[in-house]
Amino acid sequence: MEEPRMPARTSRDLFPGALEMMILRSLKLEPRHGYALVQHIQRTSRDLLQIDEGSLYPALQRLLREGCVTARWEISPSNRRIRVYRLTPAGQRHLERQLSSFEQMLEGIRAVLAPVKP
Amino acid sequence: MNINWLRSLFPRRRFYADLYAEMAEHLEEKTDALVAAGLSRDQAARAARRAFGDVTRHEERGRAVWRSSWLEGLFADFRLAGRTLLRSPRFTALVVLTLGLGIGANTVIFSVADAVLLHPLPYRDAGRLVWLTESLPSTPDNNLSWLDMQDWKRQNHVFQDIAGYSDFSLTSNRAASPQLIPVRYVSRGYFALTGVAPQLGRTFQADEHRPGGAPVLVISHSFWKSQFGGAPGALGQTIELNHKPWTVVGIMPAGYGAISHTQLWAPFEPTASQYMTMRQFSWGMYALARLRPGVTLAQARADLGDVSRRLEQLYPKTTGGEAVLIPLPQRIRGDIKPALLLLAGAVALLLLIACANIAGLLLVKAVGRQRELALRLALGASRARLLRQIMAESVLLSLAGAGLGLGVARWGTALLVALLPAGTPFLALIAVNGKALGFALGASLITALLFGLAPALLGLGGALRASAGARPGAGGHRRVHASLVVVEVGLATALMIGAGLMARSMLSLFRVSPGFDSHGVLAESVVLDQASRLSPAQRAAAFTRVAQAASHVPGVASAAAVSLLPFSAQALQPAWDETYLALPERQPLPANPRAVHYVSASPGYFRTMGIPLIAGRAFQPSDVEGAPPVAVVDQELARRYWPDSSPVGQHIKLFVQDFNNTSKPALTIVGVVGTVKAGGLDVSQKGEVYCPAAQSPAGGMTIVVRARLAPLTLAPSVAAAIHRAAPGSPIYLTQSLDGLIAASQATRRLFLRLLVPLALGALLLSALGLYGMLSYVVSRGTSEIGLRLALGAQRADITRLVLAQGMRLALMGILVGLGAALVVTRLMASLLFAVRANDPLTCLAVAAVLAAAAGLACYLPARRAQRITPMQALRSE
Repeated sequence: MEEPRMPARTSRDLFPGALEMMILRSLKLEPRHGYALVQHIQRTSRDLLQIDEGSLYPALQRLLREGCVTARWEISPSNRRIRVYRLTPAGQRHLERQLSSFEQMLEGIRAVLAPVKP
Repeated sequence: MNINWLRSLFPRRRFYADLYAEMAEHLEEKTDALVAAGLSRDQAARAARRAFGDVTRHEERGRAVWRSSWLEGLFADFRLAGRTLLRSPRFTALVVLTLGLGIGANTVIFSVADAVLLHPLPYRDAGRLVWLTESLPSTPDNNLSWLDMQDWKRQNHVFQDIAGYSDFSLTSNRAASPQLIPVRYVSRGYFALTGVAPQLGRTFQADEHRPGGAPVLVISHSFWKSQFGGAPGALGQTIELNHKPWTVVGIMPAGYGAISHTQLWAPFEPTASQYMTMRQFSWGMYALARLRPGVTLAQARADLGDVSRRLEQLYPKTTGGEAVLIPLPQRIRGDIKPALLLLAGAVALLLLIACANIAGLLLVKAVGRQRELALRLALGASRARLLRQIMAESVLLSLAGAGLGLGVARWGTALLVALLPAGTPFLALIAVNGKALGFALGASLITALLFGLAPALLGLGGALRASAGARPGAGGHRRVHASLVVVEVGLATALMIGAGLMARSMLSLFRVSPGFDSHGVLAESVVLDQASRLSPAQRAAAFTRVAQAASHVPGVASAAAVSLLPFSAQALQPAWDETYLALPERQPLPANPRAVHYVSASPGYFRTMGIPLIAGRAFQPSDVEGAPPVAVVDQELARRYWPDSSPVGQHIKLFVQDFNNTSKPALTIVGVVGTVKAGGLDVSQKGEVYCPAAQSPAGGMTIVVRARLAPLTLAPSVAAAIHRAAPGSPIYLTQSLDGLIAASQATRRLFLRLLVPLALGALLLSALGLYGMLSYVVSRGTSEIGLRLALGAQRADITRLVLAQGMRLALMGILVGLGAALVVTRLMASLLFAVRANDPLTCLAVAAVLAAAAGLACYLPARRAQRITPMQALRSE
């Protein structure tokens, strides 16, 4: 079994960490399972972001491994077996850190890209 | 750092299962949603998948999160390696077995060598200690007199200090079973010289080292444990030895004294004071000295030689001879070293053969997988990854081999310890130790790296060529493999010649008659209690009493007493109280008199031992104190001194290093008996002079008993009879004469017992190597063989071809081996008996056996080649 090679990046890929940030933000609002998370992100981004639904799952695994979220199997109202993710305090702190550094980065880029004042 | 990371190392399966489940749920939910939006089930499913993206890739990336990539890669390599090895069980078993046997044998020898050769002596800086004595041509190492040692001390420039020691025994007077305890008498400064302080108490003080000093003892750690239970209150207690109270003043640490089997130390001076005024007498004394810092052995020898020569000039009549200086480690380990090194060499050879075999097997395997490797390279595997996997197989094989090797080592070490002569230094310390473990693992890993990497690299190189379309199995591999086989056969030849020579030596030795009938004879050695207090008459009477008591034990045919038992320790090694023979009628005492064995025997000794009477008579009861002093000589002396006449009626004088003796009366020879090989089966004999025990009794004698039953079964009843006849006299040795003779050859027998299996193992391994190689050649050359058959060759031709190929290699190997053996066996010369190191008969026999084995090994693949049909050959293309 060969090591999986990194796929070539396309214009639709987000920068690393973006997906995790958005997942944590969504989970902060309320615990959800994978499908619901996808729905929420698509709704709130007003479909501006095009991501593979499946790409959520590796991101969720990473967050699970780092302890930012916990997962539990539950029965949904529609009698489905769903795996619900919850934000942990560590995840909360991780989110805040990511947000602040993201804001910083955004500021910096905006400043560089800003039109020169006449 | 998080608990999830730790959990992530192992229960991955659960994470994988969860991931799979939730992804499946996701797809189902999406599909349901799309169906609800109006699509058909099929369309919905397809749309859901499209929206999901590449399911496999996402799942794989999800799984990858849970892998610690470095560790995972390693585990995967080893798991794959294990599976691959299990798929070819014969190959795996062969390699592991070969490696295990080779490493096991090497570890055993290493453990023994480590304990006996490399183990540090319990003295401080033992490398700077030397052992001293004086040597005369007739008596190589037993003449150091007190006055000479004092002069050495005063006049040398190379030693920090010199101290003398002498080994004896003291009798502990316990009524029921008196025992002899080894004691070492030491002169001033001995303990300080060895640099070891007592664990408890002190060593001797100045006034204890003087005539009239208090009888004090320093005891060994093991004596302390066995006699006093290790209690600190042992200091100051007294023990009764030789009917005197001795006070314990010090206890040495564990291990001190183990080499010389010493249990007690006592000051030299008070006991031996009478010997200290006479330069010509020694009291069994040797000396230890510590070299000054910076002094080399050569310098010390030169300096001591100067001093010794000066003394010789000053005191020519009483000189002890030339000074001998040997480093202490060499003195202690000396005897066994050459044989052990030889054995180590033999085992190393076996390991080499084993490695050559394995190399060949691995090479074959590597070449055989070239197609597979080429395919995997083409599919995108990195060379490093493939190499790592092949190395993982080699590492697994060598670890398995090391594990088996350790098992073999443990068993082999126990076996070797049981077989080594009892007096071997450090025998109790031989065990499979950590260093042996390290050595075994090191040897196996190096073997893996060497023989795993080379074929792997060759294999990969070939794989690239194979992937370009060229045929695998090019000539380079064959040449390497062929040379390996030649080397194997050569090494096996050399080993077998060595073993053959040893076997012939042993056979010759078995045929040597000891000069008496040793079957059915029991010997028990006794020291008379307080022998020095008894007059000669009393001693004589005591031994007569004891011998008579023994002869009345049921099952005993006859019994006698003798002072020097053939093949006993005293007989096998040069004694310090040598006796010299002089013929007063012919000439005055010669300058360098020849030493003889002086044996005091009771009447009936020759009959009991089965020594034939050649001329004259044996001893009679009338040969008592007061009657004319008589002697019986053996044929060796008769031939040496009276070659043309009969010695009966001639007179001789005996000189013992006995300070009481000024001139003993001349003895009349009354008989000649057959020569007894008292000093060993393979050494030249000194010659025996027998005197009647009644006329010259010794303090310690051995009771020899000819038994009608198995000798050792009578031992307890004979011992009881001895105790009754001589109460308080300790018996210190009980054995059968057959056992004694066998023990005298114990070292040789041991090495034979070890060399023969080694040689047979070498034969087997090299035959297997040859077989393996030819099998491979036949299987690779199938197409060529088919072609030949199709072109009209006979089957017999094919067989001949294969056989010729194999036998050519075998013969080359045998020649190489013969050449190597000519060099190597020279090193064994000291162990051989009655056979030359380059004995042609042995070489021829070994060559024949190897050729036969090689023939058999070649025959099977040749027969397989014979059965190949042209169709088979074409199909294999």
